[in-house]
Amino acid sequence: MAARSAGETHAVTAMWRRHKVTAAMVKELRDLTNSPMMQCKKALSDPEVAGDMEKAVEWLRKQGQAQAAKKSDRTTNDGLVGIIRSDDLKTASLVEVTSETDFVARNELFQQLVREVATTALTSGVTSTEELAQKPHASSPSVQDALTNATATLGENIGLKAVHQMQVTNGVLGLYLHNKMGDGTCVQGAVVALESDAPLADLDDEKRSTIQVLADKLALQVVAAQALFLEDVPAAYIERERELEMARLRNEALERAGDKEINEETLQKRVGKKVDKIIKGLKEEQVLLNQKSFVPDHKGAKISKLLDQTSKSAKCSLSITSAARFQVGADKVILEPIQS
Amino acid sequence: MLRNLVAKAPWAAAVRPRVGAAGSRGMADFVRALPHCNVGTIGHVDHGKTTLTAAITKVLSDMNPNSATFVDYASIDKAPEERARGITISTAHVEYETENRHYSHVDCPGHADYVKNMITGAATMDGGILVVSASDGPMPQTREHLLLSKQVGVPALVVFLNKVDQVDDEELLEIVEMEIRELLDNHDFPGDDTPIVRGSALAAVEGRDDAIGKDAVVELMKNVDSFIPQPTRDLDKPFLLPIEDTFSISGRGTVVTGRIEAGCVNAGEEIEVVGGKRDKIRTTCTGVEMHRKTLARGEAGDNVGILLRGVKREDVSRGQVVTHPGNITQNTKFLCQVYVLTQKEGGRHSPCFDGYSPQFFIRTADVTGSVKIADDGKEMIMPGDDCTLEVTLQSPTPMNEGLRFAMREGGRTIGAGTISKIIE
Repeated sequence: MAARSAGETHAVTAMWRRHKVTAAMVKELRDLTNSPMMQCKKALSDPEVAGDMEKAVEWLRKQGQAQAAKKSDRTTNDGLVGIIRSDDLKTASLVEVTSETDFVARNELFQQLVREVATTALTSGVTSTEELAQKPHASSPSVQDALTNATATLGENIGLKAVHQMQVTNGVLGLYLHNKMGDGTCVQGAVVALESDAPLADLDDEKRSTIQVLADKLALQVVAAQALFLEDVPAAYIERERELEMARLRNEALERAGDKEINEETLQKRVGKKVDKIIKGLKEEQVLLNQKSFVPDHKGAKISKLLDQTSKSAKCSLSITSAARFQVGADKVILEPIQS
Repeated sequence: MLRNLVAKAPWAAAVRPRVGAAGSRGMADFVRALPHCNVGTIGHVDHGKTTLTAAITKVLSDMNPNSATFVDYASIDKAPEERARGITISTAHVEYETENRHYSHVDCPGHADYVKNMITGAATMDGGILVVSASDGPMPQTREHLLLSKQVGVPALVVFLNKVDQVDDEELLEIVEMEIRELLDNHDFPGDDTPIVRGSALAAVEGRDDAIGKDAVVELMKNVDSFIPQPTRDLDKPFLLPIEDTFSISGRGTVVTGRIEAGCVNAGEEIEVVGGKRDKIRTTCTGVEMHRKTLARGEAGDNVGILLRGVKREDVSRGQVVTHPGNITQNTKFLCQVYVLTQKEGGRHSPCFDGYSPQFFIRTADVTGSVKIADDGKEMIMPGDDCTLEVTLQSPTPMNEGLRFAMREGGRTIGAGTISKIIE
């Protein structure tokens, strides 16, 4: 073992003599790639590379893959959400790229990566992370490749967690990015599809901009009030909540009663009423259209009313067809009409 | 008498039992008073912050078992979640002593945790140890580490260049050092003067290669001792007492009570009452009392009553402060960094916007103020966010930069903050 490592050292020294890897070359490669210092040196010293910069970059790329694989099981609870909207405001993509610490999330290199991944998602239109990872990307052969590269330079496990596509035909998409870190990246963000029955291009500028502003404010509302549903609470969800609440309240009532005997029928009735109240609350709080607006410009107004008002004044019919909210470290929330 | 003697010694505020030295076998604790200093490690996850922390405790405890208790990485790495003033923060705490100072050492996993620590004052940092792996060199996010240090107000950094045994080329080590100094310069730290200590934390923990192991850690701590300035102790600051209550004692006059926050006051000294809607009141402290006994002087930490000459009780009230003249200003507008509690932490469940007006508890004062978000492009504050606010108070309140406060609404704390800049 010792002999082998001594032999290796000897081989490396001999090789240096042949290619002369100077500290200046190492520094040059490091400035070029942001790679760790000794990785740069190893790259240049490799007999295959023999001090060639281009080959060294390629060597680092391959080495980066091996290193990324080693880090791939480390937990990533931080990162950023990237949201990019097309220039015509009709399509948008949300992606979530994760890192191990928020220090990396605050770094410009990482932010640029997330922005580019969102852009690739937008141009390719793919809807799964697996597909997106294989798409050609910015200056890399694929998104996966870019992520691997980032893992190598940032030294943290960088992963693509989620992707979602949004679009409208006539209307506009509204965006809101909460705790923005650089352009198009944030810790939590939402996109709302505000659809119109008539093309907005036919409207005058003022009305168009009113609708655009409304769409963005609705996206803010989605983040502010964390709605889970678009139009109504699905029956299955209500059923589950009802059962849970029933069991909880029933137990509470039984505990309070202690040894006293209680009439099962009245208990059911009383508990039933309370549960109805909770369900009603759920419908007001978790359903976007039923929610009261948090937006300072029209605080307290019901969202569905806001839509009606703006529709009337713009002389078109506006409706929210879907919404999506991405938050770092949490499951994505997609609000869609209930399929009947 | 004894108390006074102790208090006059320069190390008085730092009297504390020695770490790990239990008063076993009926012996009294040997108490040596050393000045106290708070430090923290910052650096990339793989660069050996935890190993270095373990190495420091090991080397110091080997040299003097009373000065530290060896803490291995497994116990440091957990960074348990703890609650400081109701706010959940992930922090690992370690304590140790060099010959010159007693240290509290913190390590947090993320930026947000350090900011929460700074805002709540749970673990302030008087200095930082930046850990950089020599084989990697500074990482792109090292910039973020330095920005954080500036943001939380770390006055000085010492660099530990770790894993030097993995670099076989002196020139490369020099390049790494150069890169570090350049980065420090770019973030307003003195790049040329900042000590960079080369070593291997792992070697120190494993007790091998003393030159880069134990000796390097000793060298590092020597630099931490000398390069990180000793923070001013409360006792050495100008006198300040936030008024908690006021009394009128017939035949003697008005007495204000409270805990002396900083400095000391002697009977007969000229003092000033600041705060509230009225003008400052210039008066004389005619007496200091504690537990119904007269004191010659009151000092930081004492709960005292102060007798004011010629002041009516209705002229003073809770929320004002008593100080030496000209020591503090009363202001209505300031910039601050705040952390807004999550619902889980007992805070709000809904976001707030410009114009939100909670109560501000600044020392003993309770003032309504309205907020304006001062971060670029931020229009909403969600529970769990930290951000910069511009606060306008309804009445002038005595304050200074660096002062911590709480924000409350409907009787519960919804946020904590630190004043970063007084505007008017």
